Amino acid sequence: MARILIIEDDDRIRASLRLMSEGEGFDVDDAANAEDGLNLFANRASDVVLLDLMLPGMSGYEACRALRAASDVPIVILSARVDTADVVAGLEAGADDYITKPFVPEELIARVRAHIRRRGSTTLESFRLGDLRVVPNEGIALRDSGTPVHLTATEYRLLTELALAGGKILSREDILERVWGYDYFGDGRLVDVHIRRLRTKIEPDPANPTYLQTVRGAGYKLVI
Amino acid sequence: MATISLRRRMSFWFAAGAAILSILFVFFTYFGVRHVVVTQRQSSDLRQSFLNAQVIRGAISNSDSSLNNVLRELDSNTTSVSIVNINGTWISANVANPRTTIPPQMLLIAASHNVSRQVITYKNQPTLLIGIPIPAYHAVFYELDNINDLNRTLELMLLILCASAVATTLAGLAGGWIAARRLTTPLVRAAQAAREIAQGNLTTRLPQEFSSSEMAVLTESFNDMVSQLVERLERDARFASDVSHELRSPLTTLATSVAVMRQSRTDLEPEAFAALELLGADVETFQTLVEDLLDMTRNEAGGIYLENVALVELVQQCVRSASRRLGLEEINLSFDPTTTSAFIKVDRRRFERIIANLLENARRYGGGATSLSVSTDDHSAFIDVDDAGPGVPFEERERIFDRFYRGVEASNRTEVRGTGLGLSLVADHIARFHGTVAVLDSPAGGARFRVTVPLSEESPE
Repeated sequence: MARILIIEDDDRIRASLRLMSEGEGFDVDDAANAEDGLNLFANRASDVVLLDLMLPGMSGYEACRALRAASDVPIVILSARVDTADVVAGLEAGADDYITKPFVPEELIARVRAHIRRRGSTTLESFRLGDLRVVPNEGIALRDSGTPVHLTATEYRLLTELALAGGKILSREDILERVWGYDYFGDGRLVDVHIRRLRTKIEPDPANPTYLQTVRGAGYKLVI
Repeated sequence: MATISLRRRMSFWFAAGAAILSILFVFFTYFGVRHVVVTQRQSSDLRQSFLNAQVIRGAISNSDSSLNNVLRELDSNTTSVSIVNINGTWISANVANPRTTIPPQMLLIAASHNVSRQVITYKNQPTLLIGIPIPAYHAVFYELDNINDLNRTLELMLLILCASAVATTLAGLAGGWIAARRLTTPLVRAAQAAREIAQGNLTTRLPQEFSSSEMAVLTESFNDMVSQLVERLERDARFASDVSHELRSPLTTLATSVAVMRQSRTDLEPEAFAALELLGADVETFQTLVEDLLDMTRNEAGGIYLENVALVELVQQCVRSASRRLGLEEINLSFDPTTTSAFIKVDRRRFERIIANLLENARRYGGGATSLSVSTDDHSAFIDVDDAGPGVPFEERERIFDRFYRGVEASNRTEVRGTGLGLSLVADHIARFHGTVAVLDSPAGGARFRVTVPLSEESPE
């Protein structure tokens, strides 16, 4: 049974989310602030975290960074803001996805399910990017020097889907569908931020990428 | 335009005033001076002639002296020439035909022993002729004084006066123009500022540089008015934004609670389930409304992220995600060959909203979009969404983009229920990309919504 952690300061939203998630068959933990949420997570890891950005005390952004430092758990931001700067800031803080309030509850559930499902296996056993060997199913990304590269579940998925495309260009929409498994009122920013983050981890020079290349106006491709 | 005509009118009246005044001035000066000068000349000539007549009288009484010699002497001492008629005999030193030189009326006046005076033409020159009778010797003394110099002086004076009248008129014209400019410049600026404000540039203010207090008052009132307007707009926008923000949380709870109830729909009585569906549908409408309102207040407050994106990819992505979201059938998408290399500068999320709202509008009022075609010209990209519905009447084609406006036809159809913001949001969003949206007739018979976006000139990425 998958477990969800809800960190949301509005009591009624939190209660209704708990009811709905339980109704969908998830186990639910909830917290009204970031500190309690982080403690709960430390005691019992969840499969997905739903995180409000505007929290009393420690902000959602800080909570996001703290969670990301501790775990690869998929983090879905529940935001009252839709403007790019806020969205990007949330994603930069390490979130995997975001949804804006007021959201359609069925859409939220669909995304949570997609994130849980994504943790499953891929047909691609392993591939190399220069001196980096990636084994997606085992969550291994290791340099020949023996240095591990730490990737989140979403980043493994993104890299693997690009590798599976065999050098073909994937549009942002293709990537959203394959990696996030859910094509919603499309937001290429989600892809752009993740690609950027991935580059800083795998590229020798992230500003001039050799593997993860942007094809202007079309999308991205992985050159192996 | 009105300001220019005011300027012209003012210049005209200034010039006309100057012209009238200077013509009057010329008239009175010329005739006044002429009168004085001519009178003086005449009386001094007359005085001289009397003196000369005394000399002639003396010469006649003293029969020693030759009258001819006396006349010659008189002529040589003055600028005038003299004639004497004594007992019907004409004597003159310098006049060739004395008899015919004197006009008949003068002869008559002299015959009645009166002094006469007349301006005649002598040797083609204006000449003052004075006749003084010397009755004791049956003689008349005539003196001819050339007054051409006087006339020339008067003519020169008239010329100078006329020239200065013309100069004064021109100065009046220039003065009028300058005065009108000084007067209308602040008006022109105020009009321009008002126009800029109407176009949405709310930072426009009039410069505080006018010296006259009236203009300072105008400037100050104008700027005050704009500041108050801006404040009011901001207050309204903030209010709408605050209300919408406050509605987010309860709406989220509402929507989630409806979802919870739906999870256990099998346990519900049919009436309760029907009621739940009604509730659910309206909560959704409410959510969209709040989202739209927030989008609009955000548009007013800025917060737009423009990206350079490939037209074809963007439209495909928008149509696909909107279709999926709205549960639409496959739409007939067509791209002009020219569109492949086209880029536009837009905020992706808002652009997607534009496409989705147009598709939804077509579904709601036009029986669904029949086609979506994309084309370009040298400057713009055109996205046409066609439907096969009844079309939009001419008189509604502007108002259809107003907030909460529903067409006459549409409001009669109870099954149609939108937020009333969809198309106005389209217009709002597209304006942020310097584009436009308009309703036309579709060649297929329904309505065509045409979105025009300027092509991006920057190279992408």
